[in-house]
Amino acid sequence: MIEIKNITMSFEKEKGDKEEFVALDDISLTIPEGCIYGFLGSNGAGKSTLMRLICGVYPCSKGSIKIDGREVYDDPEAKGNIFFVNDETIQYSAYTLKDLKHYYKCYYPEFSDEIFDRLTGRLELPQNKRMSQFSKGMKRQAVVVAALSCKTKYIMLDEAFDGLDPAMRKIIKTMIVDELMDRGATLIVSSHNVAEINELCDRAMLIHQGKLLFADEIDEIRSSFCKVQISPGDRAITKETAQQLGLEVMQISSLGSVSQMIIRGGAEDSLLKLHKLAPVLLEAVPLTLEEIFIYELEGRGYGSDILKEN
Amino acid sequence: MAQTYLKKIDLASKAECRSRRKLLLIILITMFMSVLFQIAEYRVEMGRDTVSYFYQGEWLEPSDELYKVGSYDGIFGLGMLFVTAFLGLFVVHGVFSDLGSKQVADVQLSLPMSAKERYLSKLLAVFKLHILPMLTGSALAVILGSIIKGGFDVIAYPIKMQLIALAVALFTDAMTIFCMTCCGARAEGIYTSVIAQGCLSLLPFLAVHMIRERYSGLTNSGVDRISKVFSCLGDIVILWAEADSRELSNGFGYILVNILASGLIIFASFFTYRRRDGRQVGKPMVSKLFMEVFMCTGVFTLLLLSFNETEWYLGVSVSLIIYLVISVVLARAKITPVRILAWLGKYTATLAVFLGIMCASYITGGFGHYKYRIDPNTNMGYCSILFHTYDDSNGEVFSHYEKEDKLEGVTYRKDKTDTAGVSREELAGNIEAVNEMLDKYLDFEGRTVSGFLRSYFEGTGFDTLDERRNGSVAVSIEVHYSVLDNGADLTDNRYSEYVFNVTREEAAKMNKMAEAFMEKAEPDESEYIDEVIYE
Repeated sequence: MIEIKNITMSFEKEKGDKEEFVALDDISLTIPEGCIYGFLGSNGAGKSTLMRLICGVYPCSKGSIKIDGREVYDDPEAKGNIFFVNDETIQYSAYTLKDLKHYYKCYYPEFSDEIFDRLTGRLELPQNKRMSQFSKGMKRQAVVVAALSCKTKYIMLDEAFDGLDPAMRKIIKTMIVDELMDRGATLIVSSHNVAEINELCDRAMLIHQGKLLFADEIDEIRSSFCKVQISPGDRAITKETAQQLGLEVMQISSLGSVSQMIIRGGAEDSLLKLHKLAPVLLEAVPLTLEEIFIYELEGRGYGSDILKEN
Repeated sequence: MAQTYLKKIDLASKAECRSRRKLLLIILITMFMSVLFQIAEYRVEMGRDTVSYFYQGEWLEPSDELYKVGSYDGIFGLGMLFVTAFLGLFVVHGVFSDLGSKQVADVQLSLPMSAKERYLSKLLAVFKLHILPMLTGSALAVILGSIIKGGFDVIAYPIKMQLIALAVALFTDAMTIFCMTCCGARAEGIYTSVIAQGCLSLLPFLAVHMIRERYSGLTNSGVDRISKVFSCLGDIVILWAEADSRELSNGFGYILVNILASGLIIFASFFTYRRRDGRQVGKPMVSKLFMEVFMCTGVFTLLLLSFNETEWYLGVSVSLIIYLVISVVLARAKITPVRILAWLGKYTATLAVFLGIMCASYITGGFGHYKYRIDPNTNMGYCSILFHTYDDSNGEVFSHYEKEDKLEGVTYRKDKTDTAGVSREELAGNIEAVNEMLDKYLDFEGRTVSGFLRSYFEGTGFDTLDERRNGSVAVSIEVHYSVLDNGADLTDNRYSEYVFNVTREEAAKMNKMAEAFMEKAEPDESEYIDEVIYE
């Protein structure tokens, strides 16, 4: 289990900056074993920073991160349980697959030649070609294969599927899930693609401007938001009216006599409260994780300036 | 437990080495070439003594006795050896790339290793990639060279050359590691290590020679001893390569201390490495203190290097340009007029500190160095005193006195039967007379700031006393002497030379004082001019 407790991460101010940059602000999170956890967030929200903290690349300015009860920073034993794949592959350009295998074999005693050879064989990756000559997809595949071969308990992929075509994404995802499920390992994956997280993960968290907005099982997240279509008849429904009923409305829009509300709360409870308005039409529409992502961030003003300008 | 720990470090170093195979190949090629050419260029010949020296009360003249001498008839072999030594820059840069590349830092800092383990594994990788091939090549060059050329009895000479190259290699590695731990970007890691290596090697040496000697008017063999001490750190250790092949015992100690000093830098670098984490990667300079010291050291070295030039603006302009270029590079794209002004301000402050030090040296006569006197109680076996007065502007000699004595009982040159000489008291008396002249007339109390500024900016010479500038007479007093009963140092010949200006009246009085214990002589003009003309 990975326990993240009240971590704050700030970067020293540089010349010209008025104050230091706080990348993560008082984040607490628990990542249980055996799950696939999705890190969601806007650009520059702090997802990659959080991942670097979890794998010990950065020390925490405040708070603590423990992997199976051990502080991760500068602790080889704790770090031996986790493998981090960052969003670049340029550092491996000079390597062949053989080099890559030998490199990680030197650091991870549990490294499995069998997994590495099997997966690279299945993906038909050339063994003696330099990785600089690989396509982007092939490089990704190679690094993910190396990560899986190290047989660590936790694997973190930072935007691992970005820039890959849908077929390649599916191949890599299937490969990861197959390998991890067999040994009950945990996968932590960050992506801008909410649909992908929705499809792959069983848990997710949303981070924005260094602050954690929510973190839970995806079903729980989905059930804690609802989209309601309502037509109250001759009257127009406003945000204030809905709030008077005890609802937390994130967004409201109207088209003719039908209004659509995004409500933070369960569908059943929201419908029950809205029944008091005796509407002509009242129904709950399923909400996707992507919609939750967008409405949550819109509610916090993300991109509103740009949208206004347009 | 310890075995597992060492195995882990060894495995990690193997991973590093495997990633740098190309570099290893380059090093092996240069070292192979070096070994081949060293063997080809190595000569073992019969030679004679060229230096005469006192030893246990006897003045030993170059004898007719022949002995074996090792030497290199060419520079390619040794040149390639030093090229290999300097290749350490690229080795360290490659192995410690986690300090300057975000991508590499992400990979390496997340590996299951502590900072200490990572540092040790990288050191081991540097050793395997750079030092081990050098050691192996050097051993081959020495052994094969000695076997082929039949010079095992002078094997110490090629060993010394290999040790000097090893010291240079270790210093290159140490400085590159240190600079890389203080910088967060690749470019800074490279150029700071090259510049810092040069500055650290030259600055102490230059500081003593330029600041102390220049303004004291006194050159003595004591300074050479200090130079030897400076060879304990940095590439200046190469100076020992010039030493006579029979003076081997002198150099080894200094070379070994130099190697230890590099080891100390590597040890100290661990503490800066340990404090590094992924956040600083990408920043040009991680340590502000390092940046300021680096810039200041660079400016001081350049100013001192150009100090002999009469065109003072050459040193100032070159150092200013380099200072600004480095500042621009460090600032990346964030350059504003305010920042440029700040850099100019910092440079001016550095220049002011430099001039302040030089001015203090000028006023105090090399920080009191001019007060140095030879101790009359020194156990001398031989003493030669030369006294001249001359015109500083054209070299015309006004007067020349000399005195050469040896201690009674000491044999002189080839005539081992000639034991005649003067008493110990008489030798001491001569030195006392010299010291009396110096006490009376070597006086820098009249030196002023304006005099320094004129001296520095107008290039008006280095020991001119303000009020004596016009119509003054230059004085040179040279004392050469040998110390007895110093079995540890066979060539313990020493000298002190005082050069300063006096008024004509003072020169006349000094001539009288010289006449009292020295003999007037006609100077060998050509030799004399070689020694005292500075223009």
